[in-house]
Amino acid sequence: MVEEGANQGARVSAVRSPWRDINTSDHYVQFYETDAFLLDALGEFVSAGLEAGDSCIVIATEAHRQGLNTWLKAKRPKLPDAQTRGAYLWMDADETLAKMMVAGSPDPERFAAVVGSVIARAAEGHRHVRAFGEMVALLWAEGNPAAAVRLEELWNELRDRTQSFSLLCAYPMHGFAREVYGTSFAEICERHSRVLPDESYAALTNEDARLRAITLLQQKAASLEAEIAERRAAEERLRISENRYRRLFEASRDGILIVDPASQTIDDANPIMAQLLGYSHEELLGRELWQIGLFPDRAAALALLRELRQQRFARYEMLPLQARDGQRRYVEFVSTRFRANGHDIIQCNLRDITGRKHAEALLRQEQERLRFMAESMPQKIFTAKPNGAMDYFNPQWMEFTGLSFEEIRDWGWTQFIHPDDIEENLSRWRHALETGEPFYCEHRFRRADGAYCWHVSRAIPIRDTDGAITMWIGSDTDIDEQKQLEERKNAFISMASHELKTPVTSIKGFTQILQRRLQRQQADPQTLLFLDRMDAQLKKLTDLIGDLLDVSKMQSGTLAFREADVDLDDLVYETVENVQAAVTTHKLYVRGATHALVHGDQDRLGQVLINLLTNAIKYSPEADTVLVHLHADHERVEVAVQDFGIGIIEEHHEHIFERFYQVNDQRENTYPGLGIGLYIAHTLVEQHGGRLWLESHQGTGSTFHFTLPRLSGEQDARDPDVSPAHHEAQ
Amino acid sequence: MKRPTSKILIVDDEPDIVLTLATILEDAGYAVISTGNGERVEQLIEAERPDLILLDMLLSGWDGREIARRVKGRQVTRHIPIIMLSAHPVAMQEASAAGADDFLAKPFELDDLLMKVAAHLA
Repeated sequence: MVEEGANQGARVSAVRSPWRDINTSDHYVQFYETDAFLLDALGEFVSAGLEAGDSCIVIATEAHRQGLNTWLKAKRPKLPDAQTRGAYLWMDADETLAKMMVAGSPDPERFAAVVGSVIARAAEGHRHVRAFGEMVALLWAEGNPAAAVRLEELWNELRDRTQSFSLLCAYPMHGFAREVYGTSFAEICERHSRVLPDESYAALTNEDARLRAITLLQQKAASLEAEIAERRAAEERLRISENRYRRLFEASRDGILIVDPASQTIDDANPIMAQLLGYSHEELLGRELWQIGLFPDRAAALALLRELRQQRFARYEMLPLQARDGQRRYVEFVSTRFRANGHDIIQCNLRDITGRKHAEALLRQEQERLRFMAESMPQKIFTAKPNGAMDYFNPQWMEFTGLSFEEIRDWGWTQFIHPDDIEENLSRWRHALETGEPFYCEHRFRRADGAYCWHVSRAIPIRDTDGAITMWIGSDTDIDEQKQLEERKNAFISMASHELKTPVTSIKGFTQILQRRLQRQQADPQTLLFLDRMDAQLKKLTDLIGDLLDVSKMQSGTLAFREADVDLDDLVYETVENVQAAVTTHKLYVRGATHALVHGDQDRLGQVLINLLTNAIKYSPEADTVLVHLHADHERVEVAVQDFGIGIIEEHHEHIFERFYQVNDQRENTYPGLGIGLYIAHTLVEQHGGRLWLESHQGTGSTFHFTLPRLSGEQDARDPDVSPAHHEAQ
Repeated sequence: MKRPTSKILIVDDEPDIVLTLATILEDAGYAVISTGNGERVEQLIEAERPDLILLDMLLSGWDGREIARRVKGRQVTRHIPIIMLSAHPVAMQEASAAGADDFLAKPFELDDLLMKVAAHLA
């Protein structure tokens, strides 16, 4: 064939071997698609050999042996019985192969013993030998391509070492129909000196048809190669994608189960799922959902599967599950059924919400408790939005007002506030909303029966972590009874002091009449002194009654002022003079001047100073001086009354201005008195827009300071030459 | 003493107060008439024609301010000065509002009383 191909030059070779002419030691390989083609080739190979007087050895399967016999009888009926002449030898391929195989590979010695010896015998008398073998094809079909290649090599070695013989191997082409066999296929071809294609090419009879076939094959090969590359790329993409989803699946913080709808068993589960349920991954596989604590029984699991079959989707907000260790957990369960690669798949996602559920339960419990408290306390409670609209009232409100929640919510509550109080209330509420300062208001609410009751309201803002107000919470306490009590008390004090004044007026009148008459009659001095003392005590009594009356008025807010512009220096000097006139134990000195006008009630401001002076004299029995310091700046005047008495220890300082507060010192003296003088002074100063405070150290005396806002620019107009610096006056 | 003939009407329902007022004023040389009965006041004024009235603001059952208003409301009595007395210091404004000419807080100083009375009779 080589010669023929060379002779024909560019012509495409015909592949039907001139089996008649072979004398060389060629090693052919014939590929085939059908046994008929193989038997044709084998028949020609053998019959040509026998006709030429060659020895023929056929190592074939039983089926191929019978096929060959049939072929020979049909196609070469005149052929002399070769077998009887010893020129034709048949060996069973399976048996022969079994004899030479050691550990999955053909053993060279055994090959030499089993095959080599037969060939040597056949070659006796220098006859040319033709051999056909398909053991390699059997090895190939068994999936042992290495052994097949090795056996081909053994054949080649045998041919090279011993007498030359022609060898024909045959492989069914379908055994190579995989892309991965490409390398092995090439190797096998390499082991042969002549390669004969299968019948789809070899059966073609003319050159043109063969050229066309080659062209088609080239196209097919090219497209297959491209397809293979494409498939490889697709496989790679798939692998990457698979990896990615696998990682997601493994790393997911939700438990994920893949369930086969047909068997209703678990196909896959991610690590979190295993952890959640307390089973290992392997233990979960193949189990049904209800067997792993996810549903209480099979029926419940089946219900889910039914739902998934119908809806393809199922969701349970809260599914209780029993972990393997008996612990109860709660999961949010979402399940979908979808089609992938032609199969239905159920995917279940489980999110552990046990912690959230516990937190919710705690929160609910807390809310319940707060609600219970809000609804069981006597106080009225409300909450409001940051814009001031009320969004919660406890039932006490509805009970009290006789109005429904709907009627009073948002701004509906304004309807039960007393018309005289609503303006003040709204202004304070708006101020609180604007500034975030606590709300406080005393006002009257209309009860269901129409009566108005005093309430004190308080509200504070609740802020989030950023400091923004999220809501207001407030309470209202019925103070009507206290208010009435207070009113009654004040009315009582007022009445009592009035009632007290009547007898005092008589006593004072009679005392003064007696004084006058006895003076005229030149009575003895002691009697006159006694009457003098009586009159002085009556004055004190009158002052005390006046103080009591003032306190009750301050409490009830009915203390009236006669307001005017007051020359403070004049007032101070005049008051000091009056007090000095009645005091012999102390000398009173005024130091400095304010040169200022203040606005207020002259008598009441005088009363402040009198109280402070009286106090200073009273609490410094061992001293003989009281100083009054005057000072002013652009905005205010300051008056300070300094004594040199026992002083007041620090702990009393903040209480001393409280009503009826008494300084009781166990080591020192306890000074009697109603303890209202300082309270009155303090209240009066505050009502004049000023401040009263105390500086005192035990043993060195006390100084009471009070300030008042000055009227601007007055001192220069009045006395431009006198600076506000201190000048001494006595 | 300056005008011994001046006649003063005291209207107060507390007898001891009436007694002190009367004593002080009589010691000072005034003629004094008195009543504790609000109903009789106008009748008494009509009959006695006092030169000055000392009027307590809160009589039992009667309001001194009402009496003052009536006295000041009548042409024939309008000229009679009224000094209103009260144990309530704030009553001063109310007294003025009711038409009283002056106000004296109880308990009073003897000198203050005589000063005010003399001032209004001058």
